[in-house]
Amino acid sequence: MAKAMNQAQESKVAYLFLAPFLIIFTVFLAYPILYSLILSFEESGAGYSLNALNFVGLKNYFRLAVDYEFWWAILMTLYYAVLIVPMGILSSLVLAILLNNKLSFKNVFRSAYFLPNVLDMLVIGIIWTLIYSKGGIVDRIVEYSFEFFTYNFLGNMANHFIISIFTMITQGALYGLILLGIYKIYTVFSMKRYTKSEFTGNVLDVIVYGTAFVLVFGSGGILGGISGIAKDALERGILGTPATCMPAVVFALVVKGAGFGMILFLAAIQNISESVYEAADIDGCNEFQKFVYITLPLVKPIILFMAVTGIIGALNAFTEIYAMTKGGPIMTLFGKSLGATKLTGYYLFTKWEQSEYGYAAAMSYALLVLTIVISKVQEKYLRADD
Amino acid sequence: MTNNAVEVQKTHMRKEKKKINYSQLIPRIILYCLLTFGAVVVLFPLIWMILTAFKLPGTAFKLSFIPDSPTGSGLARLYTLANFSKVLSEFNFMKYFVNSLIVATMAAVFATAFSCMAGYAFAKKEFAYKEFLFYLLLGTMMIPGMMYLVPQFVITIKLGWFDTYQGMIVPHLANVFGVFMMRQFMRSIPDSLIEAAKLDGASEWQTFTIIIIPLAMPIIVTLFLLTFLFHWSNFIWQLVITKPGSALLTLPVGLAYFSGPHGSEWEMMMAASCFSIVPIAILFLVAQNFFIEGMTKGAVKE
Repeated sequence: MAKAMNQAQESKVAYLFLAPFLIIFTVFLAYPILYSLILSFEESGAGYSLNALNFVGLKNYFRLAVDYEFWWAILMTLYYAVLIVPMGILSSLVLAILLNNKLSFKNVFRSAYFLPNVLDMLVIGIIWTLIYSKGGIVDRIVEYSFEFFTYNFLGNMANHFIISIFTMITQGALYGLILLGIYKIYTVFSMKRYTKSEFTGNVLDVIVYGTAFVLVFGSGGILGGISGIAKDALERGILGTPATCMPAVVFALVVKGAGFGMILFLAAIQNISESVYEAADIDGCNEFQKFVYITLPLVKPIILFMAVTGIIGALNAFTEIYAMTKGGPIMTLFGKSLGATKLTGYYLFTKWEQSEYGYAAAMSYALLVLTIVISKVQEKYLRADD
Repeated sequence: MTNNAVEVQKTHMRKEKKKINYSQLIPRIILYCLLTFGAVVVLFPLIWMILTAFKLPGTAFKLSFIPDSPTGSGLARLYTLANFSKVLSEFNFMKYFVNSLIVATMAAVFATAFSCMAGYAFAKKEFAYKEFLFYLLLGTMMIPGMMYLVPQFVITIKLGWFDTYQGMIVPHLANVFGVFMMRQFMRSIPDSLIEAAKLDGASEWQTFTIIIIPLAMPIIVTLFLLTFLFHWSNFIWQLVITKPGSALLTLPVGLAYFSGPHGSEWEMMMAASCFSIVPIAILFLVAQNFFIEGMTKGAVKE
């Protein structure tokens, strides 16, 4: 009896401690989930006032199912995630590996890499807008590299001797490296291995390597395409060109977030016992093999974690888009005009701006379901990993 | 067996030798170059913001450091403090800065206090529906923040809190992540301490404030800094819950509205940006271990 009294007493005390948190949690976190569901069955009536919401049943959901802008936003969110997840993981991993050496100033580098993580996203986005803007520093770098690669060094030899010689030698070194790479590949992967006579082997080599060369360096090839896009970006601004705006936004975010993943990877790598690597040394593993067979499997949980948070972050992305592109630039596809960086988060915001609260709530619910599906998939993978 | 041991010793000796070998020097120089290059890229926005903030109006895109203004001499001809004074005196950024400070501090104080109390209850008390509540909290942690935009907005409007400090602060005071962080830490405090305090006649509240709070101080500081940071850079909520041109705008929202009509005056925008970035950068440098551990430990635990 006394014990039951005590328990009731303790329960009461516990709830007194919980009360301030619980009240706000209920009103602003638990109830909104329910309220959002109610809202998704309603539509703002005259004057888009909050007091004139009418019940419309599943209308918002039907509208969502055929809203091409919504599906486009999901597609773009996917594209964004496909860019940001691997780039984020790779940059963090590279930083962690570089930092996992015996270094002086190690803590200085660690702080420097982590610092951008704590800075205001909107302000960082605006700074990147300046960096990317027409006539800005990235534009200048692209311009200079165009000048560098098209510089007439023989023609200018008489007037600008030093610049010409410098350009010639640096360009030469660059092309030399490419040639060396091709030669190294050729010594390993020659078609002669698959043919009996040397002549047919040579013919095949000419065709295969020639095609590959043209594909990269030819006037209609990959490099030509890239320089075409670069010229386009010079004309319309990097954030104003559909082909470059998304990679540009993603680059800014990867640079901001790399230090975070770096700390996670660094902790995992430092957990690996030194003796494992020494054993591998004795077995004659090279650095690359050590990385693939020892480091990579042990940091796999972190890679998975970063992939999942990256995808959920993509569904949540808003501030960076607001700061840098506002969903633009507009491009025309199949006769519809679509925003090249209009991600789901930003599309939701535009619907809020237009006071379509019911529709925005329905969209929130659809995205919630998507997020839950993704987290469930993650759970499955992480469990399979254990 | 002995052969192996000799092998191992040999590799060790080789390693010893390597330490003074000068062939190690070039890889190390390359390593430091790579690390420095990475740091420059990562900090480039920060560097560029500061450099641009000191430039004369209209010279944001000038890459050259050669002065070209007719007045002043030397560096003074290129670098100026006028942007800062103009942003503060003509464009309200002092007000925005104070607002940011008020909102972030108030929110951090209350959210940390509430998380602390709730975390204590979860860690050290038995109560009805504890399990149910725990899983409810865990469930809401998975929900993406964007999902809350519309319902929270409508609820706050209906409470009549549009364009008020309480509208900006109160809806984000329930920090579920903070509760879990506190609970995790407080579970490690031995029960005997609490019992001893009770035997000495301490009330529940006294036990909490005299025993628990001082022991949990490191984690409280961490949580305070993280919530402060979150509210300092929280943009979307402050954007939707305030009127354009309101006297309550915070720094990011003020900057976003400022960039509309003054979008081409980059020098001024960067000077305004400094007010948001520089204090946080300094705060980070002072308390970086709190930030780094607080932000990454929670992530790995999940």
